[in-house]
Amino acid sequence: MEPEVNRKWLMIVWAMLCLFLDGSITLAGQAMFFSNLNHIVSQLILLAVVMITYEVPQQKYLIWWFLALGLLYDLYFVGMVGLYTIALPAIYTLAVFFRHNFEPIWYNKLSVFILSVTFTQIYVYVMSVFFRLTSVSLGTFFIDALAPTIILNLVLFPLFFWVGNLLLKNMYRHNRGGK
Amino acid sequence: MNKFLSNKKLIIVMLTLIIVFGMISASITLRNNRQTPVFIQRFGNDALSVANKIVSVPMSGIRATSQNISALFVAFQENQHLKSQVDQVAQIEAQNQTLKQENRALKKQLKLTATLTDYHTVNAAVINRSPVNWQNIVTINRGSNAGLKKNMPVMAGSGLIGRLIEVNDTSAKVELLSTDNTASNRFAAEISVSGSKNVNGIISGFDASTGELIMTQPTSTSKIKKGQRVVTSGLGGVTPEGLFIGRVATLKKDDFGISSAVYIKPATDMDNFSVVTVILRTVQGD
Repeated sequence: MEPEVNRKWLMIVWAMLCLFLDGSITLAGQAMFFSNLNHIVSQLILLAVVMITYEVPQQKYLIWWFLALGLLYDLYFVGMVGLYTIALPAIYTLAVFFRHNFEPIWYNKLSVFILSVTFTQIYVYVMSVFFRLTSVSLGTFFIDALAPTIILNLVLFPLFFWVGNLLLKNMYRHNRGGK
Repeated sequence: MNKFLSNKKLIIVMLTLIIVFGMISASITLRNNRQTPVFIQRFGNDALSVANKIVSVPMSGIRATSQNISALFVAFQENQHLKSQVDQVAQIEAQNQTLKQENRALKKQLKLTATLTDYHTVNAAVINRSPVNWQNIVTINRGSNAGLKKNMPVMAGSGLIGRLIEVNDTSAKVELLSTDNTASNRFAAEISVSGSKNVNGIISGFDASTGELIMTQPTSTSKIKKGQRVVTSGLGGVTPEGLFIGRVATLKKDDFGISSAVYIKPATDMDNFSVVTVILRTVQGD
């Protein structure tokens, strides 16, 4: 029998914390992240989506919730809609696929996270080129944006995976002992 | 049945693509054309800016501490360098004071209340940088309640860094000059040429590999030299005259050898600042 989820607000706290941390970490490291041709960004929001999908299974409203979260992310950081509004529900679908087909262990979650970062960066790049928001070449994108962004998020993963796990495990009311 | 399903999937993919492209184009158009965002967006952005302080305050504390520690290591050399400039500063200050008084008296005589060089400033702290690649946008903690309006120029340190592209009630977004966005507004600039007419042009790009701004359409190139000061010309929009942008680095011809572009070393590092100054021009433009 699956434990009952009774503190869903913790998942909102975790997602919002990741949203704010993305902006703050990118600002804190901007001297390094945007030097020369580099375009490195923190993508903890994707980690939040992956972890929530694994920790809160069988909640059909999640896809709509991630759509709203993506909309918020787009409006707050860019002021235009359609980048993360689409990317977050798509990553939720990817994470559901992995949850059904692979064991829910940490390295599988890490794989989904890396795939999510890769997918999102490619999607944002394609859209930015299409709407003439950037003229960066494909080679520069792979070498100076995608690869270092994946590395940064790999570095951030252990700490925030641990913190997120601690927080999300507290969502459950266990049959014995827990509140 | 299989054919029906595959058709249905295809229709869903097509519909999603149409919706995505529609949403992005509509929101870019809205962002470029509206003076202020719609109420719900303004409210949401302001609420998030307040909540953002939970993360941004400790993060800026950590950042300031690490910067202070690294600054300690260069303090001695910096002190020696600054000492050599102190005498000059006092002299320039006295000269500035005299010129200001003279300027005020002349304006009074000409009955000029305000000119393109008059402006007020509003200081603001940067609360985050957009983690969405290719945007080059930072959010600041001042908005229309502090008198800010869309398109106002923003400075950090001694140089221009960008302009406001979205103004909410208590927060605003600044698009940096390093943006690649072809739809963003440009700054009219001029190069100070001693003993001759200033050279006008438009800041229309950024060379990320050298970290230099690109000024195109210069009115003349014969007297442009390395090290000359580049400032805003005050023409068009809401930007006052005389905001320092940087110094001329090189003059290059395009691939066909027809038009010239002036490369400018910016006065401020556009990827290393935490406090900005928004410039409010006294004389209103169109």
